Amino acid sequence: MPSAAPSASYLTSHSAILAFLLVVVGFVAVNLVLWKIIRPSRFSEEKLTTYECGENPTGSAWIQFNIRFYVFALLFIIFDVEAVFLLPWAVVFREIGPLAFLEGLVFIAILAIALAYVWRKGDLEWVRTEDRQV
Amino acid sequence: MTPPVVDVLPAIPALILAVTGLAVLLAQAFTPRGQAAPGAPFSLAGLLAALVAVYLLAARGGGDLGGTYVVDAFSLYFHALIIGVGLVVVLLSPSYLRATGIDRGEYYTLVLFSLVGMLGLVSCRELVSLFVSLEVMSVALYALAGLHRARPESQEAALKYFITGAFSSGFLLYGIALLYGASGSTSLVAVGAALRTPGPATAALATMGTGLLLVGFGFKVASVPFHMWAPDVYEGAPTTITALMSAGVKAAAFGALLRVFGQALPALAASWQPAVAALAVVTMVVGNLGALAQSNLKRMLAYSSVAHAGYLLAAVVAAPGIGVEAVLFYLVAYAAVNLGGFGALAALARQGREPLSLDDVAGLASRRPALAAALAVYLISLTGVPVSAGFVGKFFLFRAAVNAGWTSLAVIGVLMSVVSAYYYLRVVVAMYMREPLGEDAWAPVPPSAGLALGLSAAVVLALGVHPEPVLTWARLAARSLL
Amino acid sequence: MRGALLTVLVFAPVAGALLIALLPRGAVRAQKMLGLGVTSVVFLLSLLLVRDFRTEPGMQFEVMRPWLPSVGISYHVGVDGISMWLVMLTTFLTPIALLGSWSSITDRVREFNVFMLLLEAGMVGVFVSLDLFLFYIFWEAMLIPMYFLIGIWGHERRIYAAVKFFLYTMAGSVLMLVAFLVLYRAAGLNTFDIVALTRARVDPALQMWLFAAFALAFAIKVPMWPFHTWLPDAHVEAPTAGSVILAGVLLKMGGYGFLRLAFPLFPEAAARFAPWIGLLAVIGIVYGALVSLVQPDLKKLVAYSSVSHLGFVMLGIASFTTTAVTGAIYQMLNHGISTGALFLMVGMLYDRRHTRQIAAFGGLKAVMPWFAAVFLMVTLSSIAVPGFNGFVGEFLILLGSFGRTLTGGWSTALVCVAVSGVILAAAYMLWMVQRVFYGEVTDPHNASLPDLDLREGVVLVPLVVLALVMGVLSPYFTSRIEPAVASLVVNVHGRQFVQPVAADAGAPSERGR
Repeated sequence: MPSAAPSASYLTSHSAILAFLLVVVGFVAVNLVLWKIIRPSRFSEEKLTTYECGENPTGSAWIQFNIRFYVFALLFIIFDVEAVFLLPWAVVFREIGPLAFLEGLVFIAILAIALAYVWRKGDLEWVRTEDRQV
Repeated sequence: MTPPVVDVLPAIPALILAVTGLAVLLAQAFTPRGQAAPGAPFSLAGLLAALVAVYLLAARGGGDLGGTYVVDAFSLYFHALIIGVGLVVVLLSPSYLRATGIDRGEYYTLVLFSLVGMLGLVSCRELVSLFVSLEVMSVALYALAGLHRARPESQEAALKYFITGAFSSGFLLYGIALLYGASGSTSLVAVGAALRTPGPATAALATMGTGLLLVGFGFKVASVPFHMWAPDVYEGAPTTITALMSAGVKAAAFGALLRVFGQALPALAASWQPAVAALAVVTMVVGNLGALAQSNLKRMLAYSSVAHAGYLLAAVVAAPGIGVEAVLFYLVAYAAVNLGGFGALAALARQGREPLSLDDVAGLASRRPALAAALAVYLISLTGVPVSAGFVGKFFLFRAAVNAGWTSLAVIGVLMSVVSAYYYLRVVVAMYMREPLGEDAWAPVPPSAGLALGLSAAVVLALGVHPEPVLTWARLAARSLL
Repeated sequence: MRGALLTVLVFAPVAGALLIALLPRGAVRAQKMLGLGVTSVVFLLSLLLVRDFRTEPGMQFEVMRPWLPSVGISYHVGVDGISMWLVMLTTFLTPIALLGSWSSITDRVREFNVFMLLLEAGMVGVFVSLDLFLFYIFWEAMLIPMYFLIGIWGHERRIYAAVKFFLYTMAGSVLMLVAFLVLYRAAGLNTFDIVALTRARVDPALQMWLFAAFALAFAIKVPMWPFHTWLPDAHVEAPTAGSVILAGVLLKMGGYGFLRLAFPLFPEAAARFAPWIGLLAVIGIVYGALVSLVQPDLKKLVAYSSVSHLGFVMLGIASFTTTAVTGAIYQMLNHGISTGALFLMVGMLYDRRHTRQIAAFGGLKAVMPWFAAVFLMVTLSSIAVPGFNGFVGEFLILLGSFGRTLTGGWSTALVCVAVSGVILAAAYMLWMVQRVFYGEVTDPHNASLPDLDLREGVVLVPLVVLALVMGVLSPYFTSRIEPAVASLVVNVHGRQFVQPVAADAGAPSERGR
């Protein structure tokens, strides 16, 4: 919605963000520099390649990934989104009362059902039981 | 701060369906691998309970969930229609799923979830929740379209539907954003009020937003030139899902279209009416001419579904007014006919095959007289020949167009109906006037599918003779939109 | 009873059709008996119409019940002198057609009877409807059984003929549907009631369009030249019963539509178009006759003769004088009887010889004397020999079309050319009779053809008797037709075209009753 021109109070109310930014940048800088000084440096070809979750980062990109990566990625996103939704809920929880508690429970319950489904389908195991039997 | 009082009762039908869907999902999860959970009985029970809830809601006079999800006469009408569609689809499904080897509980879960989306689509009076409903419906359908994992056509259908669906969602969302920009609200009522007194910049934004919304809905109702996905998706998807898409999705999308255009955008009618009229003309013409060239029955019915979107759009031009009630009535007629048409093909499926060509249905009248008679009734209704719901429906569609001063739309519509008679009659000719070819390759009609087909045919004939109750109801529903 | 009679006539065949559909597939005899029984009972009931008919203009046996009240659609039925006889013709011909094809239909007998009964319901419905919506429902619904009759039980090119019939007729009628809607809006009465709309006056410029849309639908149905091309195909390919009903009743609906709807609803436009309709009618008379003259196929010959005969009907309607219109209606009945009989007899020949080529016959008079005698009588009725019904109709039409008519300055010329049709009809029919029945038996197949059997006799005798009765006792019929016609003519165009038909002509009533 349209806001008024930036005023002094507007800026002070955002000063916390500035402080936060400074701390973050400072933290990263200090750590990078500090570890650069104190760690031993023994390079190998393996170590110099880009980290790619265990996959080979060079060569053609048109290789077959294990389909399980996608299943796990999907599951991760689902629970990631759960966290995203639950955070604002938790913030205003006090103001919206018991109904909100119920709604939160319903939301978690639905995700729990999904989890149960995924578990029963064997998609939580990296190597499925029936694959093992084969 | 006092907690806001939220009346959840209006959402009960949708909640029942959602919970049923979850129950079926869990049941499937705890069913031993390789076996199917009893999804159909669960779903039937849930749908019947939802129908009762709709009845009770109607008796209570509807309700309003925080101004975003309203159950007025308009939504109640669509609730009954969509749940009815769901019932018929579930009745058609078990035999078809067994015959094609895709009998899995998840099927019913996804069907129920898509129905939840449809219920939301026709009930949301707020653009963002409308969009969420649309996605709930669509995502379930993307998965359903690809359920035939062994068939490349089914995979193609899922992918095509997903990509065009996502594409159209983009248009819709952009349109919503522009309307929000023009009016400062996503509530349909507030948008409508804001657009009644627009400034020049607002008017331009709103017009662009309206155009984008029209494109988005154009995709969903499969109107030309946004129809190219329909034949492939209808052909590739499992036939019962095609029935659900052609009957349910079309109804829900038209419901949302009418609600958005009727409640938020009547002030811009002068700018969108010609656009809708143009869409109606090209849709009627291209859909019917396209259907003429098809030899595959599912593709033929897909093009016919495009054509029927055109007839419906011809009456949308007359909205808000008698156009709305005409569209509402026709959607019932059209749903019954399409469920029957696709359902008849699905009922005959055996060992992964179903009748898809005219040769496949040749002489059907002597082998499955009742099914052939029902299919003939559906085809006659699609043509718009009395005594059928299709005739009464088209009569009111074209009456709306003529009364709004768009006689040319009605003329094009009736002439295209004659064109459509040619391709619908080809099927009747094959069934009744040709000899059967070869061995009888099709399944005997299963009882539950027979019940579903009989119901559809009865609705088609009953609405052709005595349409007054449904018309009255449609009129009430149309009034509640204003 | 008086109120419910028409409703019973429309829906009794529907009920009969449902009953037959419930019979087991194998019970062929029961299906046939039930079909014939229901249609016969309907015919007997329809005789009550004639008994209780009052010789006066205006609708009788009227029933009006709201159907879709919000849109102004009602179940409104009734008959006047124009439609009553057409209803009679329908109920009379249907059992005859069923009995006539008693043994020639062997496949799917149940469906055949169901479709025939539904067809009868649709035909009666068209003639009694007094609401545009109801009229259109019957008008279109009738197509479906006829389509199946041609397509399932027809001859070699039946599918082509059935689809052509359906598409042609539907293409004509859909524009009429739009015209209904435009008329509804223009009249502003919020009703589809035909009687009420007749009193509304529509803007003359709009009338032209609406009349054209109506006229297209009816001209295809009649069929008028040049919209007749579906007719030879449909007639030739249809089974005998289909041809009889098609020629006997369906073709009358075009003329009836002009009289009941197009002319009364749009009088100014009718006056503008009448000379052109008359011209097309006369072209049809001569064209149909000339084409008949060269037909080698018996059924095609009869089909094209229909084009010619219905040209007379349309000439009478276009002239729009009381005499001409009365003659036109009379001629519709005559054509139903004589052409129905001709199609039945051609069908009987086909059942015996499985050919319809005139050249395949010759000398049948000696082999089948009774058949030849009946055929000759029917021929005489068809070519309008005095003493037979055809004469009365054609005479009244030609008389009424002469002089001061709606075709204006063209009337004399039109009649002069039309008269040639009478002569040509005699030529092609008698020449055909000569080639089929006279001379020596040239083909040994024909030497042992059986004569009429009892069933065939029962089928044909009522037609021949009626042809004679209508030729001699015509005032009985015309006196019941004429008041309605006079009232129609006065309502549309004032008194200028009212001519007394016969001594007993009733006084035309005042406009608007």
